[in-house]
Amino acid sequence: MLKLIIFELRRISRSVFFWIVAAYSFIWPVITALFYRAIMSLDLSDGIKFNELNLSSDEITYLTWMIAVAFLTELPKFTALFTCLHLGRDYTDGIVRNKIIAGHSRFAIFGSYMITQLAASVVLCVIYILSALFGLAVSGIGVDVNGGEMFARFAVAIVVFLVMTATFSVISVIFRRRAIPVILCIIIAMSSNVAAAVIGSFNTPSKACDDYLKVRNDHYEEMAEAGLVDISVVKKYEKEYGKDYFLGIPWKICHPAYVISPMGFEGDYQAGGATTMLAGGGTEYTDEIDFATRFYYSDESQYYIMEAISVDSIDQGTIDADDIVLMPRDFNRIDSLHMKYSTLNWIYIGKSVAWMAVIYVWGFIVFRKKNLF
Amino acid sequence: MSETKDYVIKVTDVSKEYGKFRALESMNFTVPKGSIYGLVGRNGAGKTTIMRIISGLQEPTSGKVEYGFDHKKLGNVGALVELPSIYSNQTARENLVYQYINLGLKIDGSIEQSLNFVGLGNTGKKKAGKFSLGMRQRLGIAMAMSGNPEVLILDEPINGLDPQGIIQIRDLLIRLNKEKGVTIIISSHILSELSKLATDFAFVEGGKVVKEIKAEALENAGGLVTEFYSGDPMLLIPVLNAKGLATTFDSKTGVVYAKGYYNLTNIVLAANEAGANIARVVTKETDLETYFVNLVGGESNA
Repeated sequence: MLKLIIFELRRISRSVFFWIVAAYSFIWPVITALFYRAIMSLDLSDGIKFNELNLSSDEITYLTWMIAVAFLTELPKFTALFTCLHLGRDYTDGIVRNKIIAGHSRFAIFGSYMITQLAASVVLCVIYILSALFGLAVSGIGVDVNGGEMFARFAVAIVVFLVMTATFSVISVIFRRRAIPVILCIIIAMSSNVAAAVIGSFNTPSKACDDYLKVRNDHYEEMAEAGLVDISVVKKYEKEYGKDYFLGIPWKICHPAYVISPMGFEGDYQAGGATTMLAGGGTEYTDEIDFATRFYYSDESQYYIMEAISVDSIDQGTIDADDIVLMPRDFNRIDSLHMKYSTLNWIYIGKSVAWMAVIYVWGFIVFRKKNLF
Repeated sequence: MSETKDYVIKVTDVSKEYGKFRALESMNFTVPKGSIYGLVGRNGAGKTTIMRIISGLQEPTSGKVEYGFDHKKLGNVGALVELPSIYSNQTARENLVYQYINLGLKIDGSIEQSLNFVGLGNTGKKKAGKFSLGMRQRLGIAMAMSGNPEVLILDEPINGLDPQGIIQIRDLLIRLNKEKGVTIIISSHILSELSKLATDFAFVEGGKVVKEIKAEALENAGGLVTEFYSGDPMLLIPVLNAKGLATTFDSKTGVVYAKGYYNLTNIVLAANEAGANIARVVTKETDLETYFVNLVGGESNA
């Protein structure tokens, strides 16, 4: 297999398309960083001018993560094309036949394709990340890798990205007609962001919902006891906005996909940053994911209800809004909604490796059995 | 110590099915070492299928293919099946470099030697995609030849070539066989060309080899047929038989047909001596195509 790996690496290193994608991976994060730098300090109030950039440590950490990990959404479309065209050439020009006739096993051929495509993807991701850090540094935003912890998350992100590369690679080698893989891979690449966003948004564990409802209902009842709201209204809300409301049909469809796939990766990891930035819960960067906070902010209907009660009560002069609007701190005791980053890292590595194994085994079975050459 | 075998490839009861379609049905043949083995058959007879199986591109449904050499050693089998497998966006040299890496060969001056051997030494930076079909075929053969294979499998290597290209490929193959001792298995629709190359033939029909024959035997079996017109054919027949020619007599036309090669002067003198004057002699060569048509029947569409 080593000979074939050398063969493929030589091809990749001489591929013009690969170097174009590599150049994009280097340039785009720098442009992104400069763009963020510009819009965050832009002042349009009195003509166009740039104010001094004043970011907290948390914000720098968050931006470092967001800009560097964007390869997950930026690169798939390019790697999809690159993989299809690169591996496809071995089919259109018949080189894969040369490899078989020469005496290489199908396992070696398949393995060399997969290994080299993964290697190429890792190179592109590393270029992207390093370029993002470079761009953040030169733009003046600055780099904060959370004491080095973020490098582990970058590594996990790369592994998640490799699942997509594995998918593209397998699709590229199991079809004889070359148009099919190109179309399929482009569709997958283009829809992956939407799918990840949709499925990732259904990441609430069932137990978390139970816990949340318990806290909320307790809170309601406290409000009723305090005379802030009528008990009949509380009962109505508890019934109307129960578990079925929060975990409806879409959750039942999408949550299993979220659980077994690496989709939702970005959302999970950004929650910590979002917690800090959006909730304004202090300058300390959390090292745990606070699902509860995300749940709280994503639940617009609930927020509006609470706001309506608040406004009504304030209008009546009976209540201070701060007394009734649920804050992230209200959910601190919900252990099921917390997860350490290190745990999350292993979960995503485990899911990604399992998916790659499934994709490769299936791909190899087809590659070995199907009359492709 | 490994046993030396007098064959390069031995195909035994090989069948191949694609769903309900049976492409090969208990095919048997043996390719002698050092031969140029011609596979002759109609379209769909199973020539390409068996070549793909021999070269490892496909597995037979049943039966076995035995190799008289270590066929698992990289590069011991060279093949050009259907179209030449070359990177169209690379030069001839770069294509050979890739093939050398594929085979784990040291990249050295032998690449240039190979290019010169197939007459592509002066193609420089020209991409293979801009080569003529003949050049592509020659590059394909050069790549298949890398690593000095024991056997070279060529499926229709002269298909679509102009006369000059055909001659170049023919000369190249003869040189490979004679100078490098490479056994060649070749199929071609152009039977006249195949007859100039092959030392052995296998006639394929309906997924089977219906006849295996050496070139000399084919010549004898078909060979030269002469029509003798004589005033007294009954006197002529013993004369021809005495000269070692097999004869048949057509009583309707009075023509004596004789099979085989002879010295015409000696025949004429002997016939005169026997009193059977020969009025007219017509010679006809029974070629590969005629033999094939006679063997499998119908139109020649090999």
